Amino acid sequence: MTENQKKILEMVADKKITADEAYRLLSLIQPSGDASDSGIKIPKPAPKYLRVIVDTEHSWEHGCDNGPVHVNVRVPVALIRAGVKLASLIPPEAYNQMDEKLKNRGIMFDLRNMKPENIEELIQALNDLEVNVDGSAEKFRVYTE
Amino acid sequence: MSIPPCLLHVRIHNEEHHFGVWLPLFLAWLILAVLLLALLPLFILLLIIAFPFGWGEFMLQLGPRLYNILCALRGLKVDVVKTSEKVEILFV
Repeated sequence: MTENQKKILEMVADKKITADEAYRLLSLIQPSGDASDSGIKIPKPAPKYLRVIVDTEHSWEHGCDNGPVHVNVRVPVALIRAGVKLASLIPPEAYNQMDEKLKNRGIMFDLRNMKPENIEELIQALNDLEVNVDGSAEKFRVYTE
Repeated sequence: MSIPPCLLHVRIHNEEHHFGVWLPLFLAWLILAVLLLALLPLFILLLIIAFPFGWGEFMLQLGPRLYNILCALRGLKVDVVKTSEKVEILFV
């Protein structure tokens, strides 16, 4: 509740103004009924899809240039959720082997950190994520919708 | 209750051809369900063998998790455009 709203309610309590007048004043303070004005944060709805867009100017197949390629993939967030839950079943020995392979390829990512109990937090965090990579020949974009 | 995608829409455009096809995935799921039902006794036997080795829980949970993956495929869309060719795949 803002200071102005408090003052109006105090004026009603002191019978300085009528309820109708108070209503009119309150609607003037908060014309659109926007909750953000009163300090209430409305959380963004959870994303439904992860969009991955890749644009390349050249695609090489059998040593010859096949021209530009545009790839647009819409991945349901539920699939990411289900994937993480499935990954939690991977035995620890397999995790070690995967870590080693990833490190050999220069990817420093520990799959053990992806736990099903953290997935909702991760998905909510994806809401604010947007990755744009503009290379000379490739463009890469990842965002949620 | 979530169900796996029932249809797969594939559209292909190129200079010569332009066609789209709806594949009835639900028929594949029906066949798969019958197959799984037929293999159920074998699975139970494997489960009994696997439990003392610590793989029982893994095997028990694998089925439902894979089913979740199948269900989550609904809405997956892949578009690939290459000069004069275009391929669209959509799970419905």
